[in-house]
Amino acid sequence: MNIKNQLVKIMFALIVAFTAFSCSDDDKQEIAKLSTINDLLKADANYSVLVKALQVSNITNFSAGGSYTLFAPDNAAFATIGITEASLTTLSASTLSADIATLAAYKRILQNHIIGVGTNMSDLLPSSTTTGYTSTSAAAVTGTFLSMYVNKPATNILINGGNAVSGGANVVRQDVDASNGIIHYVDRVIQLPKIVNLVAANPELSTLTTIVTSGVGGAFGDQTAVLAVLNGAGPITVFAPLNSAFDKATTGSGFYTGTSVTPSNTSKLLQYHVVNTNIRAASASAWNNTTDATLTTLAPTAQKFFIPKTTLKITELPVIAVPASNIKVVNIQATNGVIHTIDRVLQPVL
Amino acid sequence: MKKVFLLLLLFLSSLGFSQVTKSSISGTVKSSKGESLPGATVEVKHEPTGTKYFASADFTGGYSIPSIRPGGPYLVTVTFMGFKTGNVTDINANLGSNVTVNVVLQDELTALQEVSVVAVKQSNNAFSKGRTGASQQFTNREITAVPISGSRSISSITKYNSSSNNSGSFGGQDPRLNNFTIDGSSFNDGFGLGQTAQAGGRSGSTAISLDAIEQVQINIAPFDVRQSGFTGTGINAVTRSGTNNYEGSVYYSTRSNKKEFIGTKAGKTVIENSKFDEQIKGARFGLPIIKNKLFFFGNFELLDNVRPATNWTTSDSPNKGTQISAPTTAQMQGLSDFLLAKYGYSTGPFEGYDAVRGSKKFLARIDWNINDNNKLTARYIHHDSFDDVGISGSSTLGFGNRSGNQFSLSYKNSGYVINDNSRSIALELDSKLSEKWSNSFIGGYDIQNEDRGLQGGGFFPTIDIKNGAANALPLTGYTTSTNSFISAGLDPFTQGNLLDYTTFHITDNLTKRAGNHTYLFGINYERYKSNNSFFPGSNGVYVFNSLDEFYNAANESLNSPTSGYPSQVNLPIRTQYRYSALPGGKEPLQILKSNKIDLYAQDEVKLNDFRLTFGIRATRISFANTAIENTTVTNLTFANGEKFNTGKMLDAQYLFEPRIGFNLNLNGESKTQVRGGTGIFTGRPPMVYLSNAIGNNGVLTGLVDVSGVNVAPGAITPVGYGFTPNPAQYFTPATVSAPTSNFDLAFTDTNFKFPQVWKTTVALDQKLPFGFVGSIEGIYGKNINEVYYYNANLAAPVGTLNGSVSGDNRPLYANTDNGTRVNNIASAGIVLSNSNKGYFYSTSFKLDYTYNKGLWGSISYTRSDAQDLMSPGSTAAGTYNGLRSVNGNNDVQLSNSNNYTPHRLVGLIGYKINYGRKAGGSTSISLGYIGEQSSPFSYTYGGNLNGDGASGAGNDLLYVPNKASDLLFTPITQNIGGSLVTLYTAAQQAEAFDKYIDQDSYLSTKRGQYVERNSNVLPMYHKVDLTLTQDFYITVKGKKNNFQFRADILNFGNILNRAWGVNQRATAPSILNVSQAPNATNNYIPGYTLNFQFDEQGKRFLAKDTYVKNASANDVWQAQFSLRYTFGN
Repeated sequence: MNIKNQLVKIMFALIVAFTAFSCSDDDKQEIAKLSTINDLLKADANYSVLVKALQVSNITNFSAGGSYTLFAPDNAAFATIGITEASLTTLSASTLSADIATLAAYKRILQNHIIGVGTNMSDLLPSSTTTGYTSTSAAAVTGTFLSMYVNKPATNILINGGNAVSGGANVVRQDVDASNGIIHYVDRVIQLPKIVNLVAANPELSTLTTIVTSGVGGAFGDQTAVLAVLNGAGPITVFAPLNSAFDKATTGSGFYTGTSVTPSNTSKLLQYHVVNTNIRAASASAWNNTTDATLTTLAPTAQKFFIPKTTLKITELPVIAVPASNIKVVNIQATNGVIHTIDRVLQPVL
Repeated sequence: MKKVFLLLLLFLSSLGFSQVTKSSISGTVKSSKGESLPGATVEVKHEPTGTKYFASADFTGGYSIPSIRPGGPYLVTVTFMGFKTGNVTDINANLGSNVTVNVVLQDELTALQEVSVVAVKQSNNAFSKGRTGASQQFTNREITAVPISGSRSISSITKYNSSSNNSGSFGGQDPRLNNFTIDGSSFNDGFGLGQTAQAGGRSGSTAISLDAIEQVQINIAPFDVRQSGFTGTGINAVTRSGTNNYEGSVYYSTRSNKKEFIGTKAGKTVIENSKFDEQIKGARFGLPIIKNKLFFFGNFELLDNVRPATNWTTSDSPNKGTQISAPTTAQMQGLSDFLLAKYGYSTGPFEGYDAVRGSKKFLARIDWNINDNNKLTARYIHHDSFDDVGISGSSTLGFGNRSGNQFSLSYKNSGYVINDNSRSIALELDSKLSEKWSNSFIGGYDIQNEDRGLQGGGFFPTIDIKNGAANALPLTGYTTSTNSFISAGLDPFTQGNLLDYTTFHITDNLTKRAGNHTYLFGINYERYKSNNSFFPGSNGVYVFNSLDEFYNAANESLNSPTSGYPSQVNLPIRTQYRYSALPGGKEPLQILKSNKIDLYAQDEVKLNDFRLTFGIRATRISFANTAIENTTVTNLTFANGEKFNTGKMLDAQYLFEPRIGFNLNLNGESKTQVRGGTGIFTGRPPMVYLSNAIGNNGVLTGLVDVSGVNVAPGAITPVGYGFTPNPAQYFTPATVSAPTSNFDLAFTDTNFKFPQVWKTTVALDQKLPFGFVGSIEGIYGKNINEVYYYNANLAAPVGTLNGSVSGDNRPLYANTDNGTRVNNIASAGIVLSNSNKGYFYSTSFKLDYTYNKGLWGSISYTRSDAQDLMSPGSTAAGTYNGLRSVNGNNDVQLSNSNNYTPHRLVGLIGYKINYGRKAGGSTSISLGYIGEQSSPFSYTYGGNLNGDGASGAGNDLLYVPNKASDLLFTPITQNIGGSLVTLYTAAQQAEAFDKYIDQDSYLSTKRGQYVERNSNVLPMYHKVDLTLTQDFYITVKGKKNNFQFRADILNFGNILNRAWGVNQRATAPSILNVSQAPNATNNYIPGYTLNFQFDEQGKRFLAKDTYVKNASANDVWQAQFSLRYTFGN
């Protein structure tokens, strides 16, 4: 037998074996070695204040392993609220209790720029009325964390309403990959949001915003007292009707039409949507897993409504012959309370 | 001219009577008319050495030479009065094989003049007439051709047996239950602590160079009773010997982390290879001292591997890279200077120093043909090896985490050196006593030493210093720190860490040939002795809160009236000191002595084309009583009323190995044969199994372990446990007493029997066209005695988990030290005992291509199953804690062994082409391929689910819920600047766990059930290694001068395609972490978190894939280049 032929055959068999075991093209693509979030920030002089702020706040996560999201404001953004490397150095060296408190406040603001899990922008943006809110690492009312609202109404991606409103920011560069997470660069320092900030940021709640911000001579009369509650120290819980809910209630055969619409009734109506403590839903599908809830609102005569256990359905007390109002998004947490959106305006006894 | 009528029939075979160091030749002498020619003289001559062996044909014409040296070529010359002399040349005898040479002589009356010399092509050694059990031979050609790397262990060749696996296991047995012999003398890692089962394993080297090896044989089931001492496989190697030619070879090999030597692309990932540089220099030479009579062979090899010991530097080092540690140069240097000035202790450098691994070995062999009937071989092996190891990071003693991280640094002399040294002498005398009787004697003595040594500086206490800062006034003292900072002094596990062992053995085999029968009578005696000492903390171990506090304590001690007296005011926060509790503070040696004597007899019967061997081997093993009684333990009663006496060794035991083997040559044409057999094999357990009980008896040593206020004088002793360089002062005047609590006990059942397996094999060999030989072989092995551990001090469960929702209601233990112990004064009582549940079976298919015109090769596939209760490690406690169970580790079930290798495909192929005459060269290529599915793993919990004590973490087999939401998940949180942020909620984890179960081919079938141990196996892994050699030679005065360049490329496929040759690993076998231990408060419903998975960048997310791709030096190609000059031959 010819040796060459045998050799060719054996080599052929080996090549076939190789090919059969070879992997997809996907495996041949190289993964670039990434820097940590901390190293990426350090490499850009425009973010030196942020690096310094993280350091003096003792937030060390970005130089170690893990997967985080950081919204990174540049030095100019910090400068607009008076924070510089020099001011941070001074503060961190100070033993004055006021300075220590300032530094602690700065730390909480930084934490409001951090999400515990690395998330691309596409996963933060709302795909329906049930998304758009994300929980940051800044503590809110005991045991809770502040929410952040991200949306893209036009070309810009806006955080908590964008840079046009106080406390919001625009995203200038998104999805920058690091070895331990993702950076989204922003043009303002994102302030800690109150209930009004998170409501105003959401276009789905624009009717509510219009109504509560109505002043003397406004379309809904003077609602400044209600607005003051929503801007107060709280904590409170707001059941926020979506625009569609207001449309239904205030047009056609809606219950809040015609002569019943007065500034004082509007206040009453709004107050029926506010509870004077911070109450969070147990989960995205149940207000409470084990017990029915009866909530007392701020509406005069302490009017109440009812949420059966294991549901997110609100029925007025006393009961009226309308379908229950569904809670759509639960646990939107602000510094002074929590918001839950609902799809039907609740009807108090006016 | 009339044609000479010389007819030859020749077979090469590996016979049932396969030997450890020899080969044999047998056959018949007949006339052309078919008459047998009794009395015909057969002379067999080993041509390179002129060694001659003689036999004469018996009344049936048969002859046999039972013991010839392996190799060749041989010349067989047959003479008989009245007949022409017959010559057969070019016979090569493989180790352990029987060459059959049948000669037909032509009557001198009809034959005239010349005798033709017929060269016979070498037959395939896999195909055989006398072969019975499963075996494989590797000739010098294959040994030279296999791709190799580094120090060239014998396993670089034995792994090409398809019944092996990547850990060196054969037949599903632990690799340490193989028996490795060199020149008939056992040469194992007998104590069993090494990474490989062979001498040299402790320091990652081998005691013998592959360059000194002539042939290797693997015998998984030899039914010859001469072979014993294993339940896995016998691996027998013979060394080269000198010949009448002056021959020599010098060589140099090198490899490193440079880009010519190692790849960087493992799949999608680019890896950064850590720095190393390895060089091997060696030589061998063989020569005749007296031609045809006395020969010498020698080999020498030096391995030198240098790598940076650490890449971590001080925070202000001029040499700093990416790995920067907290201490400053001034702090490190200051402490070093202080210790040198005050104590004369040299710390060595703290950064930029190298770790060295070295091996130096030589081998010398003498072959003496005393006369035609007596041949003597003497062989000596000398091996010294060491490996530098950095200080341990264990927190069992001191504070731990001592170096190699961002917080802490240590010094070179804090590390240690592991040695593995061997001396071995072996003597073999083969004698032909008469035409019928012959004798073979082998004697040997091996010394192995695996003591730990120092890198320098001498003995000094371990000092772990944390980086606490001085408190601001009015507070005094220092803050404590969660991190280590600087560690100085010697590694805490090194002083008194000693191991040496010796083996003396003799074997004598007496063979008698009588007609169709060959009788064998043999005796084997082996005496083993090991001295082992493990004395951790005997140098004293101190933890200080800060550098200042250490200086204060040291200065106080130095300035005390008796300089070096323990500090009284400035104290460490923890002091540990282990002392000998033996009378007079004697070294706590664990001594083990055994005597083993074997007697055996065997008969081989030849009936035409049928051969049968049957025999029996009887063994007595006894132990000297070197154990020490702990009377406290003697009075204890353990679970099930058992009592133990630590002063009692196991009883003498008697073991028997009956075996029967057969070989049937179908059609009488040597084209098809059926072979097989059945019999019992006795293995030698690693002696550390037995030594464990001698060491862990609670009376050898005691441990002072004090912290906080207890360190101060008065609290426990007036002297206190302050800092001193000489902690033995704590007991001055000596008041050492034996400890009375916290015994870590290991027992050996006095009836413990050495491992035994009953193996049965049957095989079919078939000669195929074009020079191929095909084989099919089935092996079944049933464990008769296997190693089994249980904890006699484990208290019964106290209840069960609450499985009302999940369905997991496994037994629940007390989850406290006291509650999980039968006797609270003992932390554990692990008993070495036997069981017999394990089994193994395999089916192999093999295709061989015999060497022909430069080409050779083989390919084989094995499908196998290996089941056992446990796959033991080195220590009793380690093995017991490593078990996997649902109901607790005293109730383990039969499941896949750690050596489970369901599929294995191996191939080895070589081609060599020669050219030129007086000057010329040759080129060769050889490819080794291994594809295997192995490394099974079990799904378990991180943490202790069933509360079975400290030993129980990670041992509980997973329960797979019907739906993940049946389990109680707790949120996974992360501290971000002081806020504990929820990363993943319970609902997210439940959803992810359901998805994980569904994508896992095994878990998805086990919903509502417990998983079994080792049920998942890593995907098939394919690896191709390549060797290329290029030779040039020039002949000067009849001597060949040959220069060779050789490249060995491991994982060659990775050069062709970066996605090839990349290993995979199990992502998260501890898939659930126990975040809330079940207890009365939570109604016995445990809480879980799902484990993380990390991507190539290191980003973490909830586990979602069973396997992920690796990216390390083992996943890219690696090359070694060699140059060799050979003269002679």
